[in-house]
Amino acid sequence: MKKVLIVDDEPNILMSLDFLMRKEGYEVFIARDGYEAIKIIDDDMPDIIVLDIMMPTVDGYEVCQYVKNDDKKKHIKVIFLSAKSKKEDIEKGYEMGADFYMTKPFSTRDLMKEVKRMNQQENMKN
Amino acid sequence: MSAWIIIVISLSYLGVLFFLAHFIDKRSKAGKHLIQYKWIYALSIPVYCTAWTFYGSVGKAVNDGWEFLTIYIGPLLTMPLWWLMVRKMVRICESQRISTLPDLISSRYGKSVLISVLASVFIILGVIPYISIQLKSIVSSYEILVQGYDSQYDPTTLFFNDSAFYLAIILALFIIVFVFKSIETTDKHYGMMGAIAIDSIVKLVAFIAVGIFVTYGLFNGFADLFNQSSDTLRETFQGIPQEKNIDWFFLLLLSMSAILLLPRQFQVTVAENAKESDIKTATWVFPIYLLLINIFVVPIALAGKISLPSTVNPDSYVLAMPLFNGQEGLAALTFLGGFSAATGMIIVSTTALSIVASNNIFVPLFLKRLENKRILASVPLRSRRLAVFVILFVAYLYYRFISDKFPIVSIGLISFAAMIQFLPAVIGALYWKDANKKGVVAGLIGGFIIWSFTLVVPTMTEIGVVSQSLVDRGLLGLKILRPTSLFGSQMSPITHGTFWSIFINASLFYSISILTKQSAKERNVAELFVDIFKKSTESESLVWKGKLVQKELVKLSEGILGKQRTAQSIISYEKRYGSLDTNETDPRFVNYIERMLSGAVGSASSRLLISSIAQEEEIEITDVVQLLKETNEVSTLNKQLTDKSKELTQRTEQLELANDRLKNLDQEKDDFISTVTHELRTPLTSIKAFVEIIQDNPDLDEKDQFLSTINDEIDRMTRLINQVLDFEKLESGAITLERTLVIPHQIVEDSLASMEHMLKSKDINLIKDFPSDLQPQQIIGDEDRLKQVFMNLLSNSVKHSKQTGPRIEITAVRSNQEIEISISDNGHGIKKENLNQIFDKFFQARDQTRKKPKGTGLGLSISKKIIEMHNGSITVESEWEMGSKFTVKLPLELK
Repeated sequence: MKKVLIVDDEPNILMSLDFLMRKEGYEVFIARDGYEAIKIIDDDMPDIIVLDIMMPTVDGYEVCQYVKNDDKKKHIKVIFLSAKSKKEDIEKGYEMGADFYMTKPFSTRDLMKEVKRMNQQENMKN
Repeated sequence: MSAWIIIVISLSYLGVLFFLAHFIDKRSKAGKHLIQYKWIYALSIPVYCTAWTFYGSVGKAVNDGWEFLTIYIGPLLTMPLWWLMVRKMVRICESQRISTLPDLISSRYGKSVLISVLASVFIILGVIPYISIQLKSIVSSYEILVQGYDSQYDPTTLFFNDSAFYLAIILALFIIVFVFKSIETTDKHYGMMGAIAIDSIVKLVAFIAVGIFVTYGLFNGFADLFNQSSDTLRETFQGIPQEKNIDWFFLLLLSMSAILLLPRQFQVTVAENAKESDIKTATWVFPIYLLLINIFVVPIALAGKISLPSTVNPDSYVLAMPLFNGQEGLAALTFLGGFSAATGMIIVSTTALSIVASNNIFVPLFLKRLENKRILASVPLRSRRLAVFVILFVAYLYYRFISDKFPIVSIGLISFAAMIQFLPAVIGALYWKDANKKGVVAGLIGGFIIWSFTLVVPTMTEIGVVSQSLVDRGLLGLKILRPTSLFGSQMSPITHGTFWSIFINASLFYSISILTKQSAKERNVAELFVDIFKKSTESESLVWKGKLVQKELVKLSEGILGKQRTAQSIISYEKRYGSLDTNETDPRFVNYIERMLSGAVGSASSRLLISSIAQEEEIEITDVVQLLKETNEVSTLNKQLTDKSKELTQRTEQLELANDRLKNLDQEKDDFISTVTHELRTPLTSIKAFVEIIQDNPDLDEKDQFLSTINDEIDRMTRLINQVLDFEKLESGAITLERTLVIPHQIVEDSLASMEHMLKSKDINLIKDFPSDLQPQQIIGDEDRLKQVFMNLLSNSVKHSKQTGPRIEITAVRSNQEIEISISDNGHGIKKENLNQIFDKFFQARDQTRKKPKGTGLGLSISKKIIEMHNGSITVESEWEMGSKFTVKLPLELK
């Protein structure tokens, strides 16, 4: 069972994503800010992270960098989910090593498709 | 010492000097100055210190104590004036191409040949004796070296046996070779200036060497010298005797005018000035020089008096001291010092006087008599060269037959007294627009008659030219007209002569200038001279009316300046004023060429030359006034332009500021919009997510929960939109308060009531401290708006209070005429660095990745605005991790 970490400081978004991921059969971890997220990454090593950018303490970019700069963690897929929709914000996200970038408001269907695709890709590699 | 050694030393010195002059001249003409010219310039000013200083100061000190110092204190006193007065002379002479003092005076006072000749004759008469005493000093020092320190010089040698005669010829050749190469007198004579600067160093070094030898070699310093002096000698240096005060005053006045007006000083300071800023260097170098060369005068005087036999002439102590003590080498150096002092003076003075003689006497007189007024460049040049010989020969004759009858210093002072006669005319030229030609002529003639009568005539009796009875009984046998005691006045001869001559001179100059009218032309020049620092260009300031054929003007210029120089001048003229129109007479061009010619032949001659080829019209005073008005208009216009451009700069600055403000506003708007859109996106995101979930899972258990979440998010969006609109209205002033009497306590209670649900759900411990006497107090205000403020503050407190044990405290106090209501929480508080910005609109928009906005960042801005509209204030106190306290102050409505 794949592990998904959802990081957002908006309770209702967390609630909806938690519901969707569980329904698809993922093991779900939840963090309300970057700091919590890093703790969970260290402890539970998720396979996929759905990551908001604007958060208190440590922001999403930093979390992504933390993951992608570590050889042991850089296999973790990172999907940015952010209200920041400017071109340069998106580019920055990919520069940080993100695997996908979705702007809010987003379609839950597209997000789930992407998560699924990433999983299959990972499965084929193995 | 044998004669030939001294002759070899002198000739080698001259040889080296001439070689260096030649070298410096070549290098400078190539633009490669050995050292900065300002140093040469500054060191040329001490040409003031002649053999008179070198030998005569000690002689004067022996006889008259401190009085010798007046000759040096006077120039020092003028130093502060140099930047004003000398710079003004330099500026005028540069712009009008003037190179001599008579030319300056004649230029200003109508360019008249009369004034030109008059001033020149006076100057030459006044200075030739001075040159002759330099010759005398060289010869007598030579005699002393050859025959011993106590030699009594015998001037009766035949002139072809006389070393002074040969010396005069050598110096004349130097001047012709190094100085008068070009027709242009305003060119700088770098070679001559270099030689003079070297002379200045040599004489200073020699004098100090003797001084040190005498003071520290023969005696034990200054104190020892004084101790060994006799009482009578010491008395000589005991202050200034009361009766000498008036002499001191006039000696200071004489030397003050001498440093500015003596032909050699005018030559080096004004004519040879290359840059006005060099004057600044001179004003500190020259005083130091004077100080150094005077330090050892009194020690040498004392030492000579103590140790030399009384037969030795005090004027030769400087040379006699080393000789008496067997120091032949030092004696030779001393001789060289005196020699350089004398030659430097002779070279510069003769140069200046021969320019004066040629440009201000010979050429204008020659031209006046010439029918067609055509002269060649060779005329002024040849006459100048001839003048060198004539002047030196006359000086030589004076030396042979007259000068030995007087001590060096008195001849020098008579010369000084001649020069001071030019002071009124020069000061008038520089500072007094109403001074006129008639005044100057009267003043100069009057001054020189008195000068001759009081100072020259008495000296003539000694050589038998004038009978003694004139001096004793007075002119025409009238006692009041005795040359040494005019109107019975009792003063020392120099003071007497100076006083009466300058008094008569200045009175005539002033009164006749006042009583007679000056011509329009003169007025024109007077305006130009006096206001030289205010005018930008000289050419526009002179009126010329008439007609001439421009070709002839060019031909005239070519005849004197040469084709090449004329072409160059025309090119630089056209560069400045645009192309010449050959058919029209351009008055500006006429003035320009007249100035160029002045540089070569003097202003009076140049005037004659121009008028010879032109049909000139008399200019009227109205023309001058018109021109003045025009130049004033130009300067007014200039001033207006500067003002305008200043204004423009100010406007630009204002615009830049406004632009910056707009940019800031723009930035704020951008921030605002992005904050608002972010904040709108958050609920939208949730809504969209839940809607999709419900759509995809129609039979969901959590359906109701999700639907009510959607509802909350929609409320949140509505709130946000309302707040934004509210804020916009407040900002634009579209909202007006509905003012009624309201009770603050009631408003707080109402706000709490409408938030009851929220407070309860968070289980907040609410503490109220609203004193009962304050509860009925009223204020004037808008009830709904105030409620909005308190609800905003309360909901902030609720949001930020501690998760566990949240507490909110409401207190009210009265201070003066105000009610203070505070709402505090026990939450995280606000960081110090953010306290100042907390009320700024969009504050939360800053640092966007770090902190997601909790609201629009408008709540507190709106609250602040509302409170301020009630003439109240809202403040915050907070400590990190200790909670925040917001305080609202509102003015009470007193019953």
